[in-house]
Amino acid sequence: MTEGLTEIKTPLELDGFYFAFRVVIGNTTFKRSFFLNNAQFAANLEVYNCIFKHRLNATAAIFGPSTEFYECRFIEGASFNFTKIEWSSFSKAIFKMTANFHASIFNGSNTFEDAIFKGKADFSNATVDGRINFDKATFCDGASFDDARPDPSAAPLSFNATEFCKHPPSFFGRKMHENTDWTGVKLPNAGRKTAQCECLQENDKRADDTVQMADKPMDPKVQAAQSRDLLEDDKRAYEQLRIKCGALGKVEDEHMFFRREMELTGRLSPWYTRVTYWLYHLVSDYGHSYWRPMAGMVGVWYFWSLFYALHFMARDQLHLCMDRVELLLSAMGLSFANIFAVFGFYRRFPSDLLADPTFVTVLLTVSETLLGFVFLFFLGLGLRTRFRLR
Amino acid sequence: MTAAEEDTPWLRLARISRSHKENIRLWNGYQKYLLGSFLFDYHSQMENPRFADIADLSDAEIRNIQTRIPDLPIELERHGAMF
Repeated sequence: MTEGLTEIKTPLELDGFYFAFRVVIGNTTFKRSFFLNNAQFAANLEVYNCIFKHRLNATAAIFGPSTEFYECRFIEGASFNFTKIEWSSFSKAIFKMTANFHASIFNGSNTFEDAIFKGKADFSNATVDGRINFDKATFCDGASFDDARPDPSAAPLSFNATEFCKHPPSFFGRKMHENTDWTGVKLPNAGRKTAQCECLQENDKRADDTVQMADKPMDPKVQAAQSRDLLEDDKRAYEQLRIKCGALGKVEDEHMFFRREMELTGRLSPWYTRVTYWLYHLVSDYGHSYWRPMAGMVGVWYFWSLFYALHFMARDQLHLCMDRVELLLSAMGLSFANIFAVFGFYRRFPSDLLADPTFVTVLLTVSETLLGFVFLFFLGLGLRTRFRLR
Repeated sequence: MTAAEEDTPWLRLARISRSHKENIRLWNGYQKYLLGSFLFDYHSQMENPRFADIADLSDAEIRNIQTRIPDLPIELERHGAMF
């Protein structure tokens, strides 16, 4: 059909066509719509390096044993709703608008590796009897894997190094398969306010027909309300993912979604509560990091040692008969004992420095003990989370 | 249709009639006719009700198609690509 052709300028209506033989379409630009609704491919379909400038409609099409849309660009959206697909590859495909795979049936191994979904990706109600691989794919807008059927099925999906730029994947009603891979997945940053994600500009180098997705100017109040609604939706999506990973005992994934959920909860809270979430993140990455509390303890030890040294050097009424190095070492010991006050080091190794405490001395020791306790608690929490100590 | 598209036999078959239903009938019928040379594939595809339901084209209709589109393949290799 397209041999020797570089572009097809008229609409191509192949609805209901039966293809008994292998179909190969390469290096072709379809300037108008391409309809394949209810078409059936008995053998393989190989489409490579093609550009679909208008819609590709393949609703309820039945594809053969192997279907390939390699390095294809779908400019105006692609509809594969209710299709049956055995083995497919959409590697390096670019979907500029919505990619619809609603209620499709994926029987074999299917891959969207390195694909870019610039619009929404709709895999809702899809049945996955084989596997779908989204490794290194980029979702610039929402991705729906929701399942609203009375008997939802689990879908073995792989999101290895997949990037979700704007919204997390939505898994409402969908059972999560044990073999769902979230290794190296990049989730959207709640702090990023703009709709345009970084990946968009970066990946556009691959596409000539760039559609700018810059937001239209909008009333700031309306924009804020919409933004809040979207954040709440994202939070609920993370909550679902956390619950589902938790039910499967996928502790690392569960905590990854928990952290994102907390980040959004913080953003949606009033400023005075937001501070606590921010501190929780800063001190321990929501209970995930044990390096942060350790660094915090080292910092407290260092600074309080310095404070003590300066404080006691300024006070000469103690007549400690110590040179500066001895005083500094003694201050460091005092600081250490104060951080780990719960272990009672200060009782076993009493310090002369506290013989006649002033208000400042008390203030320093109390503040250090309290900070030390907080960091110690988060250190324990981080160790418990990381090493699954129960 | 551009001249280049006009030269492409499969595209011409896909649009041989103004009626889309007629196009489906002729296309599918011609597919069935071409597959007839491969008995194994023909019988295995006959298990697919969609293929089995395709009405056979008469010899006159096949000749008419081949006359109107002279460069349309009259036979295909078993695993050959259609387009």
